[in-house]
Amino acid sequence: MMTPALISGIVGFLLTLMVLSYLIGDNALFRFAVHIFVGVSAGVVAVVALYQVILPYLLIPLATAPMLERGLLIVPLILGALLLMKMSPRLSWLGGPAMGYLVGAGAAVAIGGAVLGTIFPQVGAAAEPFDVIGLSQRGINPLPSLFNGVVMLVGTVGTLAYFHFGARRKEDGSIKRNGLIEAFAWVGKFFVALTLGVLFAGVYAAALAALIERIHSLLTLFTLFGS
Amino acid sequence: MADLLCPHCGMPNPPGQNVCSFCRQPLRAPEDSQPIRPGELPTKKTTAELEPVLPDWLKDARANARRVDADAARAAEQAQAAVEHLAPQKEEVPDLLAGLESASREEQDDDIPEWMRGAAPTPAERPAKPEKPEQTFPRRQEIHWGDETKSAGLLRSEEMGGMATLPIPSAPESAGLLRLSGDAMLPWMRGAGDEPAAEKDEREPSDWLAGQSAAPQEKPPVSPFAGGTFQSPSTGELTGWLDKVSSEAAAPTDQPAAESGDSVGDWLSSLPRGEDLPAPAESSGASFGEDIDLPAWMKPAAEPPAESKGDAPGWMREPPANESARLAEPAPEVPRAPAFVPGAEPADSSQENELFSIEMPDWLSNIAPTDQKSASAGTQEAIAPADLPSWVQAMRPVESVLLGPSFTVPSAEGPLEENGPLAGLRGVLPAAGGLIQPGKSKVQAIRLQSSEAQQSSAALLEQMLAAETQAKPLRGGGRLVSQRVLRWIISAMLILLVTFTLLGGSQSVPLPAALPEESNMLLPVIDLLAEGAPVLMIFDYEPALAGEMEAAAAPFVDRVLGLRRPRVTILSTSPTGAALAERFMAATQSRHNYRGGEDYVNLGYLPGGTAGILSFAENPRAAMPSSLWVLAAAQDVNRFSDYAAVILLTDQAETARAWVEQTGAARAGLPLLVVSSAQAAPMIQPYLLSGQVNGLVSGLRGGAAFESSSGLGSPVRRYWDAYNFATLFATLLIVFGGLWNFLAGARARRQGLDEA
Repeated sequence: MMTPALISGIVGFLLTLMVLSYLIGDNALFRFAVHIFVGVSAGVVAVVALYQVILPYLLIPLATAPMLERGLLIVPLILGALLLMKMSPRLSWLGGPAMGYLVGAGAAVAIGGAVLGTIFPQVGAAAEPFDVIGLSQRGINPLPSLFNGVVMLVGTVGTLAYFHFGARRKEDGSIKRNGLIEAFAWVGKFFVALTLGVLFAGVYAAALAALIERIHSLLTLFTLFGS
Repeated sequence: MADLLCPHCGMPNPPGQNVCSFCRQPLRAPEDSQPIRPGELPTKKTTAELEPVLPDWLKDARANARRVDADAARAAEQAQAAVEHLAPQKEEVPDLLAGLESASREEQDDDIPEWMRGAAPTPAERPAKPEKPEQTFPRRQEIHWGDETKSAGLLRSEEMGGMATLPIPSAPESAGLLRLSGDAMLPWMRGAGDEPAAEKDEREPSDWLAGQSAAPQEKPPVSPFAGGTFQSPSTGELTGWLDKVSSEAAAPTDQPAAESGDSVGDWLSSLPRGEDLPAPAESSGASFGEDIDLPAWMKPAAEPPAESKGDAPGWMREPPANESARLAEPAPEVPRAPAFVPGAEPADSSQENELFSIEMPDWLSNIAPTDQKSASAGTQEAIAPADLPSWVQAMRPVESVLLGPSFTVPSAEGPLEENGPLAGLRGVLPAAGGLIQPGKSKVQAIRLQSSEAQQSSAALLEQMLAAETQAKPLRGGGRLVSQRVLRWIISAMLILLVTFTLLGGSQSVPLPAALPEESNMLLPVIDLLAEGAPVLMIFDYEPALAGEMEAAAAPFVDRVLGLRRPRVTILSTSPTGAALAERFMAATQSRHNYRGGEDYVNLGYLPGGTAGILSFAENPRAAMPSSLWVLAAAQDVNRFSDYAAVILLTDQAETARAWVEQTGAARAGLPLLVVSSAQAAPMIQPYLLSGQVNGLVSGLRGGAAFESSSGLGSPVRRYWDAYNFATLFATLLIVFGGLWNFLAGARARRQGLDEA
């Protein structure tokens, strides 16, 4: 008997084979699977946007909310309608204000969060290992923390120096960076390589976990057929 | 009768009218509208019909000519009376050009300086000059270079520095001068010869000129002009060329012509001499007189030299004492004038009278009759025929000259042009024949002069270049193996390894014995959770990494749910997050028997990205208006800080950073626990070290650590062996590939050193 789990397992098995067929090169099966994923994703997003954004945020309040709220909802309604004008090349300019509002608001939120949520806390965290007295008062051995702080400092400065491309022309006509910057850049090169290696390892680990999960699902399907 | 329509402007004109009254264009096309063809004789034109189209200056000239015609007729009658017996045959000059003749004559009279007016007849002898209106005439008086008589007697006023026509000695005396003055030359040659000589005479007389001037009066001037009323100025007043002319005039006729030629230069001396030129035609003497129209004041110049001697200036009449004896002797026989100097015949009164009897523009006199064709003309390569419009035909001087029965021009003027617009003209510069010396060019030595050292160096360079052009065999290298095959091999090995590991159900690889440091930080937070406290769980990962995320998060979530059984609020900033959350809860947490609405509530998709996160952190209910808030799982949550903990499941570092940044102020000590993919964990570590994240479970390894402590049998246990074997396999491949590249590089370097 074909249960939903079995049907979904078969579909998943076929789509997995189609995607893995990319190992032998780009082919129609791979493109077919990709098109299915794109289409399904778009459909899901459209349904989600309709049922979880437009209806609860706009249409239902317009129908049920008090008059004052309805008046306020005209603004997002107009902006949303103007955004639809982007689909027409002739009328796309009408969507400019709405798009500008979105980009401006998003940039302001992102910058504010980056300054207050990343830069300031990270600067404070980078300086904390050098607070030997504070660490001692909290009962923490300051030497390992200080060592970590020095490593982080050297790595940070070295990485910044590695991406510093300013240089001066010497008397013999050669262009060379400052000796101190050159030394830090040489050290920073190792930190950059180490960081990229760690990121690559993380990507590989994530992809490997996904591969294992897919093969395990396929084996599970075979087990179901076998049973 | 119908009106005539102008072919130019289209306006009607009364019949019988020849010229359009509107545009002044001829109404009737010429009879022979067809352009003249090379070799054809142009049809005779009634040029008077073209008078309306003449320019103003030409009309004025014609009118002036008509006015002075009556006065000129009297002077002409006097002159003709003297030469009546000669009965000159006048060529009918086109009335179109009549004005030019008289105008230029008047112009000459006006430009004559006072000192030269003595050479002209007295005012009493000259015809009364009518009052000349303001006119603009062309000052250039054309002298055809081929007409020896004219060129000997008339020089262009421009070449004379603005002076009027100057009479110069006749041909016998000026034979040498003629050679120098370019009568036997082309026009450009004469100009080139005159100007430098004039300039040189002004500064320092050359030797040859000094020699010529040394005996200026060895012989009385025989020129009819010199014997008139001509008052020669002092030598210093004359220009250089005039001095030369005077000197030539007074030079002994027995002076060899070669001297002049030698003093000028080789190029001039190489020109044909008078003796070499063809003999003059019999009619040259008569024709000479026909092609010149001299003003009346020049008529007495035609008198015999003996009469004019009395009027000659003193410096011309009184030769030096040492020359008197030689002057008394009869003049030596003068070489016969060259053919191109028809007027150079000895003073024959009849011919001289005939010389000045013709009334024709001097520039017309150089037109040769068409019946005299040069022998060389036949051999000349034909020029591309050109079509001449009718009005050009009418203005061409060919017609008047060709039709003249008695007009002859010495053949020495040059070949007759038969083709092209210049058909009928003589003395036209040939296209190339006259400028290019025929014959074999001088052979230039092209052999390179080089020393032995240079030759040896060149040979060495040649050897080096030859060696460079030889192809070198490529060094033996490993065959290029397709990367695709290698990729297939590695993929197959990896898939087979994982498959057989999963099929075998291997659990040989032990789980981590202890939690990592970042995961160990989670335990105190979990311990601090109150029983049944509201917890916000955020599912922000994509379906592609759902396998890893579920395996990593399941042990941790299971531990949280199992220990405190919190009321969970689920949301996601990804459209697929809500579905993944339901799948996670159903697949991994089913044993906790969590029911929707009571134990957990799935709020779904949180739109707006970072702005939505910020909005939710400020006011969760306003950010996600939903009826689900009234359910038991979320009914007591009004602010973000009402949650006891926030658990973030994400596969992207940017998502984790957004939640950290935007909820920092709203959390106010609220713990943020992150379960991330292995690829995002390194970027979340700084927030963990800074205390902004209170715990981290990264990837399959983090989940395995929690699985080790709980032992619930989550999926991570099934994946763990395969995960480790595949990681080991990848590590071995990396190491092996690195060693291979290292050895290959070392071998290549060694081979390079060996070959070097």
